[in-house]
Amino acid sequence: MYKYDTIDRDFLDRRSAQFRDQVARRLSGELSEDEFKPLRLQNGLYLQLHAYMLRVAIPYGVLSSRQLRGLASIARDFDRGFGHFTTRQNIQFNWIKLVETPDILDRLAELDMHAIQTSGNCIRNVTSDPLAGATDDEVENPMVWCEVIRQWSTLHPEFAFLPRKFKIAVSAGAEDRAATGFHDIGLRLVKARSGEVGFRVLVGGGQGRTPRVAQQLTPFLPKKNLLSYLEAILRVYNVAGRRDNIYKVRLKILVEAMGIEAFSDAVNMEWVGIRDSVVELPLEEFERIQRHFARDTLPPADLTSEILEAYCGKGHAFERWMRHNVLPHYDPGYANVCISIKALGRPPGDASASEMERIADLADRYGMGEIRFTYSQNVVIPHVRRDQLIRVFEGLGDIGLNGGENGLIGDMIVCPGLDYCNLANARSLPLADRIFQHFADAGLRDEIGKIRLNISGCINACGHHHAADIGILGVNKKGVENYQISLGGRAGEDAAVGRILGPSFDEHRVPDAVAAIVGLYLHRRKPDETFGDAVVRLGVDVFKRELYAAA
Amino acid sequence: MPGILITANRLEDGVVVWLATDFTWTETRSRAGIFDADTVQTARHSAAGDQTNNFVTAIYEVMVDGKADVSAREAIRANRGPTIQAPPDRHPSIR
Amino acid sequence: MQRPDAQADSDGKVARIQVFAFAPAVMEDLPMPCLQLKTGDSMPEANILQSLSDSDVVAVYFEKFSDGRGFSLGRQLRGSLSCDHPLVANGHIIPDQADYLRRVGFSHVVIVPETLSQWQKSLVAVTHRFQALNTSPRTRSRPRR
Ligand code: SF4
Repeated sequence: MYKYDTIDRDFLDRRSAQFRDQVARRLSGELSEDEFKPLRLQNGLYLQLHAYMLRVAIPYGVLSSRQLRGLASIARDFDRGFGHFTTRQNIQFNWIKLVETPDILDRLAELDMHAIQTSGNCIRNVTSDPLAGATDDEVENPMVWCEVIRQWSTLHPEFAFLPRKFKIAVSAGAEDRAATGFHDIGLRLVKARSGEVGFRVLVGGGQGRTPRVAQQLTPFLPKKNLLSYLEAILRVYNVAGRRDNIYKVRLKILVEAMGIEAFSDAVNMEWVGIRDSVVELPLEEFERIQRHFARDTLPPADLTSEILEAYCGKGHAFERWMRHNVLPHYDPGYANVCISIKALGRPPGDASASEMERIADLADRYGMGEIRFTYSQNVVIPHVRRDQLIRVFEGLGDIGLNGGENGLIGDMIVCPGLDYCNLANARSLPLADRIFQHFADAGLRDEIGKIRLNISGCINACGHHHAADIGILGVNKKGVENYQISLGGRAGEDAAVGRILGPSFDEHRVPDAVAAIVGLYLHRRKPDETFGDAVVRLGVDVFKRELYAAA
Repeated sequence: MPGILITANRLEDGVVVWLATDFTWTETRSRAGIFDADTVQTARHSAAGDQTNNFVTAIYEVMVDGKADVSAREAIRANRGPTIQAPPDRHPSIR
Repeated sequence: MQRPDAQADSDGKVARIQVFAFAPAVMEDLPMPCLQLKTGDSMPEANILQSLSDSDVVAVYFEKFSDGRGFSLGRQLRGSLSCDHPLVANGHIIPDQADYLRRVGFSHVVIVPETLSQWQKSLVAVTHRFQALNTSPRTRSRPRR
């Protein structure tokens, strides 16, 4: 992973001191709330329902065990002993004091971490594949490019006051595990027939009130031109993007209003002036960053007996975990372990300080001391020797995090909702638990198989409900929390927006509604057909009829 | 009886507060002042003053027994925390 | 877009404005702008800039500090329009934007005189640069000692 040097560290120290000065000026009234707000947002600080919330950047979801332990101690010292993993691979703390934030930023700086650009109308933390650099289905390691983009976008003077937030994701796998189709800019590393690697560039994706799947801007962008091309896109957006209507300020609206052709022409007009100019990344700098991501030499692993013995001895829970949560690695003697931060009775995405510390310990002992946060609010420990998987399973068992739920119905993506969020219409965390309870039988969850069920507490769609097989959206129906259900969303290569089925349900009826939908799938599916594929084959209307027939 | 509550977040720590009848701010919803047509102007004025003086921020009003007041949102705010249990920090028993 | 004619005062001298200069970071006075743009304006025609003399001042008015279009306008003026006139930011801007303004090509900003020390401080608060722009280099990749 990328290691900070004195330049990076000095930068964070100064940035933190700058925010200390800004907080003091806010408290003295020298800065108005209106003026201070973008400054605090660009340092990750929101004002939420109960208090300030601090969102800490985990660049493209990668962190070290030392950093995770540091986050645990921040949770304990400045918050209530837990943190929430977000769909942008970040972590947020819920009970932060404005006056203590500069101290927290100092603590983060000691960990080579920060909260820069985790919110506000700027280029946000770039996200990527949680298996980057640890899988063999990738064209090349996307983290190199994530780091390039992270540095380029950090305090970019031209793009600190955009019309609205701006999200970039990079993926390089045959499978798109970074939801690039739902980002302002989605970059997919691809190999041309000539063997040259470059980017397929998608623009104008996003969720929220107007969900859109990104469109292709160019099928192949040479790697050396990445920064000039990004600058050109951002400039067109900054200049021409709407600023008058909060619902129309995202890039997706501009792309749609102009049409992809005209947008592409505008980008190319800007691009000719800066292409191959000083704005491009110097080769030495690229090579410096690339060196940080060179593959570690992994000690040879024993592929044989112990694992199988253990497998037989441990019974169902271990088998389930092996099946769902142990992901392939480029070295057949190794695996990537997905830790499900979802279990009956715990809010999805929340983890306590002691759990974080335990995960850090396991990553040190059985992995390479590295941890990944995933888009689905789980955690991955990459590079684990297969013959030690049983130890990891047992270690996770000590903290109740050895559930084998990855990709199953219990593995819901859920936003904080009305329990924490100032903008929410409805709670999402207790609803997730109700649904989980409804599918409390692990055998049933296995039988259902791969399915993505996501919940957002309002139309901002932080819970990615548009991109779910079953999406649940909190709405406010005459002051009462209600939930709309949609079907058929996808986040991968074939990204699609789910379709709303019909009138909303109250919280008590949602689990039954979900059960009815899932029941129809179990009844009508073909052998080996996933839920998502069955919805495509049968059509959303079949499910709609089933759902509302009973009502 | 209809009335108006005035609520805000304290600037320095973000904690939710309500304006009491004596125009100080309280962290307890049950001590919030309920202002009527006669008193609400003065209350608003006092609250706005505290915003100008950088003591509170994000002021808004809620009608007592109105739609907002009985909403889940205001109940959760008054409760000063979420309706679910966060995972416990079982520190540091296991190792 | 307007072209305010530089107004002569009673002595027949051209009126001047007080501005904070980024280099060196002190107050200076400049002639009134010959070309006043504002955020949201499209780029001026090249021949308008060519009609100005070298010392003529170009200004960009920010209606609101959070309207980032002015930053792109600055870069476009310095970049594709090769504008090398003094470039002044005026309107609603806050000291915390000092370095951003400088880096996209502004040379001066109209400030409230009492805030001078804050502007000076903000200009050097964070001096690390992770991107190369037409008016400022990347310091990230500067060889380390
Ligand atoms: S989707 Fe809505 S309720 Fe959920 S976190 Fe986002 S803004 Fe808040």
